[in-house]
Amino acid sequence: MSKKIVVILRKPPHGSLYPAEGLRVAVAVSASETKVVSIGDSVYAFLKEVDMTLYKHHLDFLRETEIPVLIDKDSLEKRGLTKEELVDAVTVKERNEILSTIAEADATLTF
Amino acid sequence: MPTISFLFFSGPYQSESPETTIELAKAALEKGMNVKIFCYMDAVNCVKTGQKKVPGVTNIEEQFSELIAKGAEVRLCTLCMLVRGTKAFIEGAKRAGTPDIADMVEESDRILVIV
Repeated sequence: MSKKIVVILRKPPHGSLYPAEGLRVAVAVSASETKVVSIGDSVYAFLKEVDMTLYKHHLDFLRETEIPVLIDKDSLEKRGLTKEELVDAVTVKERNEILSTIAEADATLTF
Repeated sequence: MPTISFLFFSGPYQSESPETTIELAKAALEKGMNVKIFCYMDAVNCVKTGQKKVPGVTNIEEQFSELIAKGAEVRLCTLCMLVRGTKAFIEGAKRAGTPDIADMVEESDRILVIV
């Protein structure tokens, strides 16, 4: 049985390539049961207005293959952002749901 | 025999992350574990050949060669090497791609991410 994998994004899309690389790896491991979790400054990566040149194709693939991309509501609110400002491909979740998702994983890959 | 894998991100001579990865990998090998290391992003430069030996500074190239000699499997993100122009690398390290990370997860009892 394949493992449950959670790819955790933590870093912003500007000044680092980590969100783009994390989404690339999420695509690569998507044959397993995979979820993507976005916390901290990585939530900026999913703003409608942000330049997604480096990772839009990964995000599109994840949406088409129904790999969830879960955004931590607390991280969003602490930055004064709302779910209306985010692209459709993501789902905003409460912190406890984010923590449960991570706790249930067999492997976490942090970017 | 348990398998431990490292998803490793840091380039050499900037922080102590390479040394931390090396020491953890050595300890795991000494305990008889299988060790796999995936060098991602700047970490591919840890296995470049021709690194200058400086007294008092851990030579990362030599340490990675030692890990391979002791049985560690070291895989390198090929795309990361291409964008960095990293061409010559130590014997025994293998070119790989992100699908190898999926294999590593399936084959490992634990994954450690070292940034």
